[in-house]
Order: sequence, then structure tokens, then C-alpha cells
Amino acid sequence: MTIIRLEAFANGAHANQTKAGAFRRIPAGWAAVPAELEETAADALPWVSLTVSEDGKITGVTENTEAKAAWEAAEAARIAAEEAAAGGTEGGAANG
Amino acid sequence: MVKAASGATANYGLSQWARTDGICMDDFNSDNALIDAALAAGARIETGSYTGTGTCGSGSPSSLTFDFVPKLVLIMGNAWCGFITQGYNNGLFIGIMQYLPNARANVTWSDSTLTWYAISYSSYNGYYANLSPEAQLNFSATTYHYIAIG
Repeated sequence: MTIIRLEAFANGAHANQTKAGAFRRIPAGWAAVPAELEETAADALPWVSLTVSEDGKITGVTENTEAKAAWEAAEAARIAAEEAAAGGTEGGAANG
Repeated sequence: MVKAASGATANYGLSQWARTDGICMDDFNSDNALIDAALAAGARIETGSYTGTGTCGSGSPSSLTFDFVPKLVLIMGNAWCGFITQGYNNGLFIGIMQYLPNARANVTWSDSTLTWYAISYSSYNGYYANLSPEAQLNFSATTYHYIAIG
């Protein structure tokens, strides 16, 4: 099961957590992704746009391409700056 | 309680029968109670993952929710990993085991939800500073796996 924080961070990314089986407790402000949308969510996280019902349940998940593109551009600029600072002879540092 | 089994196992005292012993319901109920208690007292383990959001600092903490309150949480990314454990000054401690030996985490628990953000501590001037998403184990689009033991 995957749970997602309904409110996105300023960069458009959504906090998330996945594990086998159900969550006994879902934190306030988070909601479970329906089973039929889990694959879509897994492919798009953390850049998702959520459709949420009035009772706080996730009913739709799509990729937030705008936020993802913004991050990709920022990441490319960061790597380029690192490479420039290193004289263009070294690659970017490993992340994650 | 009437026990028909004449023997018992060494560790948990579970019934062991000789060929001449009878069969008694109380033996099974007693054994199952012992097994239930032993399982409940044993270590619990939970595993899972999250995808980093690229955010960090006190305004953008990371969090994980468990079915129990763990004593130790290990988090592993592609290149960075860390651990959070109870018992450090009656609190918790995070070690970022790559690149940043002075990295710490400001950690809080609410029920069984662990929330943290990375900081860097200088023993020279006692200065704490927010670190990067990497140090918070929260780099964008990176999958982090965790193991919680409690």
C-alpha cells in the first residue's frame, strides 16, 4: 500500500511511503492510494497531482509534469555548475 | 489445570509427551499461551520505501509511519544511508554514514510516526545548519528503502 501526503511541498513534490500490506494508521493529512492507482503513483512519485474527494480520499493520480520538468531543469543546472566548478573534468556527485 | 504431558522443552516449557502420557486440552492451551507471549515479546520488523521529494530542513521534514514504535530505523538510498535509534540521551540519533560525519537529525515522534530533518553540527562553534536533501535522505525521485526494528 502507498500513502501520500495530500499537501505538496513548495516544489510540487508529495511525501509518500510504501510498504507491503495495509497501514494500521494513516497520519493526518495523508491518504491511501487506491490499489488501481498504485502503479501510476509509483511511476510518477514524487511529482503527482492528486484528485481528492470531500472526505479526504484519493480518487485520481496523474503525473505533475510541470513540477517534474522544473526539477529536471534545476538538477541539470546544478550538475552543470558542479562540473564547471570542478573544471569540467569530474562528474556530479552521487545522490540519494 | 491438569497436565498430562510429563516432559517440557528446555526454553519455553512447552509440553513434551511420553508414550504413556495422556492427551489433555490444558496442555495445548498452556502451550499456545506460552507461544503467543513469546511471539508478542519478540522483535518486530517492518520494511518499506519512499521516494525522495528533494526538500529538506525544518520547514520540510521527512516522515515515516509504522505499525509500532521502532527502536531502530535504517534508511538506505543509492549512495547515502542513515539510521535513527532510540536511547541516545533518551531521544534519537541519526548518522549519515557517507560524506558528512557531523550530520545529525532533529527527530520527533508522534504516536508511531517518525519525523526528521537533517542538520549539521559543528563542535567548534555549536552551530547547527540545515543540510541538503541528500543528507536528509530525501533526494528527489530517489527510492529509499527502510527497515524498522522494534
